[in-house]
Amino acid sequence: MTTYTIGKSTDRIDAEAKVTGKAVFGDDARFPNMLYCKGVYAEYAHAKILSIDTSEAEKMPGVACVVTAKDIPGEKMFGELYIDQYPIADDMTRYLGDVVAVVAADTQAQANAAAKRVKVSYEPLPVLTVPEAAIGNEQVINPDYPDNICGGVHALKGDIDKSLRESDIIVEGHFETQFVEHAYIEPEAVTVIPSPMRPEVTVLGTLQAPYNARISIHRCLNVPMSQIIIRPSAIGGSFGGKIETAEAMSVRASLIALKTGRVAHYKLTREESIVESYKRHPINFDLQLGADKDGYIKGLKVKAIGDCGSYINMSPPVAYKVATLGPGPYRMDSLDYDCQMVITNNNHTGSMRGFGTPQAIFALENAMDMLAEKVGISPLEIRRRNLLANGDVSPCGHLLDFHEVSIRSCMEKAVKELDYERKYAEYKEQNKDPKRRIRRGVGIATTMRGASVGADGNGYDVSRVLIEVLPDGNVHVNLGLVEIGQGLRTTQAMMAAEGMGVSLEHVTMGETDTSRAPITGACIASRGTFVGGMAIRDCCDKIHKIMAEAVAKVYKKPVDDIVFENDRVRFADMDISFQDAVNACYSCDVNVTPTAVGTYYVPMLKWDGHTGEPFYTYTYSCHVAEVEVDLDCGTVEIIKMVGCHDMGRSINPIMADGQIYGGMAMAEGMAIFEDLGLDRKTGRLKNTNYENYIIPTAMDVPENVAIRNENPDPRSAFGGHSLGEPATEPGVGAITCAINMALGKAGYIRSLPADIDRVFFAGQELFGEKEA
Amino acid sequence: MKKEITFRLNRKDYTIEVDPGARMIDVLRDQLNLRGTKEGCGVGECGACTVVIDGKAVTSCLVSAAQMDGRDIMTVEGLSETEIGSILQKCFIQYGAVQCGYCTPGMLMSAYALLLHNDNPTREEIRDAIAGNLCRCTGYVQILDSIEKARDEYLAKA
Repeated sequence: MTTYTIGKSTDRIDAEAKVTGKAVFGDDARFPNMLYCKGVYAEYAHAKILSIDTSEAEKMPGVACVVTAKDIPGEKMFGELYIDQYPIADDMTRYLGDVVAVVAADTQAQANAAAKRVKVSYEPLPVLTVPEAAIGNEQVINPDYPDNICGGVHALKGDIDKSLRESDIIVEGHFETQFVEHAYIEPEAVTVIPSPMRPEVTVLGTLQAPYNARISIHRCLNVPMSQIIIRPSAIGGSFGGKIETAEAMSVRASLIALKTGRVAHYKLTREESIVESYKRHPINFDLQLGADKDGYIKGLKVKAIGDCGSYINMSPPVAYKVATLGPGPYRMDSLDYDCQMVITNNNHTGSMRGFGTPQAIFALENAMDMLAEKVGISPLEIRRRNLLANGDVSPCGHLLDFHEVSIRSCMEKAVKELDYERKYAEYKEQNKDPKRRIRRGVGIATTMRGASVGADGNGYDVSRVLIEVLPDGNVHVNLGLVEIGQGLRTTQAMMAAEGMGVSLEHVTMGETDTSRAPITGACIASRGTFVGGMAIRDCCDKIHKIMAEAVAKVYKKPVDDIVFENDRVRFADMDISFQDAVNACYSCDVNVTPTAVGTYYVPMLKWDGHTGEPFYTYTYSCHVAEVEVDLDCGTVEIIKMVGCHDMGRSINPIMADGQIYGGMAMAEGMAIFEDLGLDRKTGRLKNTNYENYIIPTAMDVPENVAIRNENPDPRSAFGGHSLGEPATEPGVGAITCAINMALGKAGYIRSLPADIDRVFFAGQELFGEKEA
Repeated sequence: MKKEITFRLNRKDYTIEVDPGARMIDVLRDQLNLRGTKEGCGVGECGACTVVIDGKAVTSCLVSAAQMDGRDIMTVEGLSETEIGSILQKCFIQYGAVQCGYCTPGMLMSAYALLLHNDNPTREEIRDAIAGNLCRCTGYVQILDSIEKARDEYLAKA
């Protein structure tokens, strides 16, 4: 396929505004007579709210109003899939991030001062913070789920008992992962502008899922959907994180704006953002991996328990991805992967880049290394023996005969770049010396990522776009899949140029605006480029039909073979400019409108738990990591990571590389640093700002390498599928496998993060103290 | 009690009345309407609010309004008017240093302060200069690349 725009590195269309400080982010909106909001947070992670006294706060200087759940005129709860979240806690608090009242005042300082005067009396209830203890506990958090289990997925293929019985080798392990903060550098902020004319609000701010926000405001405040206009600002990072929390804020601020008739501005401090926002799921895995004596996998059995926290949020779909993608890209006869999600009084857990799989791959890949150790072969060789190839059946029963199953070439390219085989042999030899205190290791992790939602979201996996071709030949795109930093706006423009057959300078992108762009599924699940591209293709085809009709009338020639390409339109013996074809549409004797809505929905997928299609298509990825471990300090230095990904086709290569570099750095943080310091007695997080919650700096991230291993996907309009999440997915596995190799024992550290304490004590346990 | 302070900001002279205990970032954003400077943590850890004061990169959330008195300040809004700044901005765009863009103003200011004093920094010196600027999107590689490209271009012009 010849391409004119896609596949070429192009400057981001929003970059100039971002380097000059002109881009307007969530907290940057200012309006005359604007109110500033402040939330009052729960004092107990689990308690009955007996009373809320706002009278003193209301009398404070500058205060316009104080709202509580009683002021919400519609439903008290919202949610994306499960309606169980309280924008303002009603009769109970379920975690310490619950907001019980919101104060609005003329200045932020006044709002902050008044918020301290809101008096709430509570009857504390037992606080459940350990999922295993919450299951079946007499203390129920959500009465709809009396056993505190909110859902799960059980993937079953073949006869697991038989496979394990027939295995020569079985490795077993218990693996644990931690809460992880998205740590977007921009905290959440929204600004709500009420209309003086009708019950209508315009919501600006950090909203990753604007159409979902519209539903939530509609549900809670009884405003017609058409009169809720969501216009996301420039969003300072999201990674799945600016959905529900920002929606709850939008409901609160809209309530205040409608009540007072004034613009309501509501931003979180970093501490508030960490206390309130949802996190990556901590998941505990009990894993058994059976193989024959040569290391060929026979079966995998996993019992995974995830902490969904106070609200269900995305937990069941996260369980779906854990159970279906957690088995990795390996051949196996049978699978029994049971993932359950448990309600607790911790922060709720939801969408975060990877959506459960970085955790599952961490467990699986360390088990693969344990298997390799038992067989007596290298981690590379065990993967060579088991990785899927064209025509194989995936662990969940998907026959992979529709695209290039490139996981093997991804791995080979990555290990070659790192010089893995030489380093593996060298470090293995060096690490035989038990007196060696500075030790190196290399690790590999591979993944297959289901693009977009999957069979559990059948029917909901839709995207829509509105494209107008204006009289000046300008192709104007209105698409509600949001730019969250990944470069999606630019990618969409490039795909629209390619699809319409015009050069990029003729394409303009409308800011996302729910009153302009038709309703679409959200920019989640690494679906923006994939399903957005499909809708763009559909839309371009529709507009081409309209334009063909017009040129046929004007030029009186057959248009059966019409081609739109590179700013030209060719049909019969004609070769006219795109502008000429546009002029034909708007000519007085034709008057057709070259405007259309494009729609795409992922075909209904049939998956019954063991056979069929759990996903429509996949991205294959491999990360390899080299680390140096200092046994006396407990420090881990990442020497280098290589990420090799088959994203189908990279629409904009430099931005695709940016995703890979960023994904690897995020994996590094989760692997060796990040810890929110949850106090299991109270449900309180100790590390609520960056002085304690440590994310990688430029000093921590090495000279990583990004490799694109492109095999255009026939199931995608422009050949590209997912990359955002795959870019993080294997990294934690690769890094921890490397650390465990440095420690000389596969699968030794099984809890995250492998931070200074864990590594130090692992060194003490394995090698004792340094000799004097 | 308000206090009058005088300073140079983005090559223009200002005399304004401030609450001397106010944070510099709030003076910039709310009093002077220069909202290119971003707040990420409020405790000087993330570097999003980095500005350049008398040639040094400083987190403006930890500077008081009183400390602005008599200083020569540069923020992201003034960068385009400087040779180093405009080269940095161009290279940030061209070589993929910008993703969400929220760390970008602070990152640019740290890079600007570095190149003001050292027109030929090594990659390690660049890394050191942006060590206080957190970025969650890029993994830093393309930011380092962009600053190196800017260094080369600035050197070639000089």
